[in-house]
Amino acid sequence: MLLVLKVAPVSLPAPCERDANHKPASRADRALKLTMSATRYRNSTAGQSRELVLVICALLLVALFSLTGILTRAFHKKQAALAAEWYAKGNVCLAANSPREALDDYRRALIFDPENEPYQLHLAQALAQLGRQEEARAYLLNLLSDRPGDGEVNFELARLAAETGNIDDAVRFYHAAVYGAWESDPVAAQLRARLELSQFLVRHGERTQAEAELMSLAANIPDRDAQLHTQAGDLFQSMGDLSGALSEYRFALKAVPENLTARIGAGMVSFKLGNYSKAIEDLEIAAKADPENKTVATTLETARLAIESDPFSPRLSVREKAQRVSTALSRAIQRADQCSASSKNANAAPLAALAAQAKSQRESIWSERNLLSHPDQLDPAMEMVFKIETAANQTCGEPSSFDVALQLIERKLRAMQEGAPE
Amino acid sequence: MSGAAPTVPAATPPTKASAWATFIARLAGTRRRWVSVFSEDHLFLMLAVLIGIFAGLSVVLFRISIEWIQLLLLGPAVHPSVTRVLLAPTLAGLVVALLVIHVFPRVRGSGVNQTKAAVYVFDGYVPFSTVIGKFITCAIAIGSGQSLGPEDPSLQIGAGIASRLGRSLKLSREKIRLIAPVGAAAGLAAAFNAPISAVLFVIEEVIGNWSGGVLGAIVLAAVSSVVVMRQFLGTNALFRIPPFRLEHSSELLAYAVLGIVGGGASVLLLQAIAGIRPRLRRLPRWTEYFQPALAGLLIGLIGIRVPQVMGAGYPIIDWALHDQFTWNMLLLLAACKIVATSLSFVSGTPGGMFAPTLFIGAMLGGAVGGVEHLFFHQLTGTVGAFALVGMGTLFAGFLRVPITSVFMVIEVSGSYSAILPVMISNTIAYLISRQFQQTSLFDLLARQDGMILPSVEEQRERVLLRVEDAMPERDGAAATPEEMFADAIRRAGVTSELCFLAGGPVGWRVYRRVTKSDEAKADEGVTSEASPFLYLDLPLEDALQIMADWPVLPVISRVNAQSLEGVLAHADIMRAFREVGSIEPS
Repeated sequence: MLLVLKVAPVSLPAPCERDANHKPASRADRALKLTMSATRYRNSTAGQSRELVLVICALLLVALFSLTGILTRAFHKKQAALAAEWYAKGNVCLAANSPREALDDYRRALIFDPENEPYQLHLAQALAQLGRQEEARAYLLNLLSDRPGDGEVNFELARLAAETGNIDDAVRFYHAAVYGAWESDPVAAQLRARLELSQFLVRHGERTQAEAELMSLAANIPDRDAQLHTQAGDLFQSMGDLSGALSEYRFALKAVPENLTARIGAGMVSFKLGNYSKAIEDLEIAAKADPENKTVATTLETARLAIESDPFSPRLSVREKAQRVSTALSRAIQRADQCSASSKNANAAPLAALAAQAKSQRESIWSERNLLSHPDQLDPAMEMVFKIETAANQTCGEPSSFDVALQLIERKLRAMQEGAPE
Repeated sequence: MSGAAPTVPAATPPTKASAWATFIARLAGTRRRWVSVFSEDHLFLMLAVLIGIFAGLSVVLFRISIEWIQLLLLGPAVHPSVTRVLLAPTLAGLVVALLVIHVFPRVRGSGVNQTKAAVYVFDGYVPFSTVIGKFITCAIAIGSGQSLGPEDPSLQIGAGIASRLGRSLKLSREKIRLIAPVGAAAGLAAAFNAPISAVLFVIEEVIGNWSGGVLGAIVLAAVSSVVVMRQFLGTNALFRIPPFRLEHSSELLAYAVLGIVGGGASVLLLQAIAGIRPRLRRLPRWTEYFQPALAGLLIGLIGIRVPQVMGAGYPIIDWALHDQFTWNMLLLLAACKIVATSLSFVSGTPGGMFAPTLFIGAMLGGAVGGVEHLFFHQLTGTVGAFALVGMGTLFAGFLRVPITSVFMVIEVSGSYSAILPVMISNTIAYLISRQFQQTSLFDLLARQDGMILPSVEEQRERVLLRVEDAMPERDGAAATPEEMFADAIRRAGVTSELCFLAGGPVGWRVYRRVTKSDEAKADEGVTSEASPFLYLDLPLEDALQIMADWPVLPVISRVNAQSLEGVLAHADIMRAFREVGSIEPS
């Protein structure tokens, strides 16, 4: 009776009560039924003892635990299979340079296996490839909070920071990657990270830091890793450290003599260092391997001309010297004539005057025969060649290989005169 | 003293039957001792653990069922095919409607309210068929893409299991009434993987006070259910949260803006439910067969373009927390989810509102963060951080559980670093929601369902009257104890027999003028009785209990028991209650 009284408020009309025709008493009836069933239940279970109920509960728990265990295991297995399937699809798409499709696949994989770190890392990589740096960064930072010393995560974060030009963050994450833990081939991965750090520093003009990193990199590259030596050589070269670059190229060529990039690099660096014979040696091999490479061909030709046209080379007879000076003078006068004729530049007049002066001298004292008999005129004649070439460079366009060779000869001469090391 | 020595009876070897009898007698003795030591309070606590384990297992099965049905109906792709998106929620809606109308009619409505009804109306009775019904219908509805969540059903599953166990173990009526919230906490804790939030929610929304009798059991149940759940589904928090940064306190203003927007959205969602649900319920009964299906079809239509709004949407929240959407996409997701959730809920499809609330909050938070970033580039909080705070904001504004909302964010994020923004944003959203929508969601739903359950929010905010509020002000110069007493006697309407009162080393006593019939017992015509006393800060309800039949009582100081602060009459208490109108039935 008491219970019946208690449900009485349930039947009171509420503000949102249905209209009067629509079973107004049904809810109260339901509540009443509910209460009556509560009472009936209390009476029906009166005979059972607590011990019996607890025993039944224990048995039920065992059964429920087993059932849950079986179902959970089956479910996790299914989830893992689906996750792996979508992950594999994502990898295929990422490899095929379709990061958008890969992104969807990785996301799906992560729905089935949300804590999988490689999945998250790949998702971040796909996002980064799509140019969604902030989103990739969010995922990576989350991963980093779980694995602060992970080399790969730090490496990806460093790359993102590098792309956005955040130097401090990039350097911090690159360093963390260099000294971090990598799952596979840690030495190569750490060197790769240091190389990228060096490249980044070079790009951003952080020369001192870049040098330190490069030295450390060069010291740790295994002898057999020709590619890394070559890349280090390129970096040294871009920083202007030609000796360092040459050394790295040589290491690379020692490991893999067929490495064309290293061969070209070595030839170019030797050429810049004025070691034309070594340059010719390397560039000839490179030109054979890659005959289409115009830079190699031009540099090779220039190097050859720089050797063949240099009147200051030791152990040359006076005749040879006179011949070379005479050839150089003729080439300089020819260039000046062509240049002053075609150019309306203000420098054209002085160039023409220099050419006229050189011509008159060639008629008199700087003829090949006169030079042979008056070797003291070799140097003044070459000085005139250098003057004309310099003036022509300011007036005209691209010099020919021969003109470049003449300039290189001048540079070498000045260096010798100043006592600078070659 | 001679005589034969007393004979000792020879020891006879015990027979098999007597050995058994001894064993059973010992067993019975042990049981009696066990029963005498093991009081009902102990049993209640032990039962809480058992409830937690059962609830944890059930929630694990429930979550797996949802996932499996989702895989089955919508497939494993991120963007399911149009056919699946349209057919799955529509057909599932029809099935759910049939089940709800013909097999499990009690599964309609909010699990929170049904648990409250069990506590306040039905003596803790939650029919076990509701547990089965909620499990089946909600798994089908959520798995098919209806925009609802599994937490509220989990809560009710827990409450139903608790009620069933309590009844089977024949607990006292007092304990049975309290058992449903214990199970509710266990179910919610397992669903959220957040025991503290579950305990707080049940205290904040279902019970309404920190009753020592039930708190221990609730905590035990919540913890044991989470332990069981983690055993099967892993220990990871519900969401993976990126690191949270707040570099300058001025950035809190940005989160205050989020609080305002969150409060507005809460009001919008509440009023949508308040407006549409009763209208749909007034429609003819046959339409109830088609309402969930129609809602499913409309959600499917939304899902063709925005499939993220289908289902509970936890992975999508995770993506938002990781800055995976632009602000305009987040805004679109929030708007679509508000529509989809309103459709699902008002159509009578069984399911909870917790997950959609988190979803909308996260999207809205992220969108606000994204827009703020457009104008203030120096903000250090990421869009994901705003999404995290947004989850708590809508939870506070829509569900009106401000304390739970703060702890929920902390628990799901596993970090305290977001505490300040969350507190600010949640408080603002809660206040705005209170200002523009008087009735909270659960009270609103209860009233729409024809029940007037005690409103925990109203209880929480009711003005607590104290003795000092009822004690009349007096002129300080004239306030001698005798005058105060005389005044009080007059207000109490008692004139003759009470005389005066006095304090002293033996405590406060009331002296009474003796009537003729009692003259024999009296000494010099006056009798005295030790009286209880009141303090100024005592709640008036307590004062009324202490006062009992005394027409007046002394009010003394807590620091000096001899100092009389005033005298309170019964009439003073009634006047104070009348003035604030709290004796009127709500």
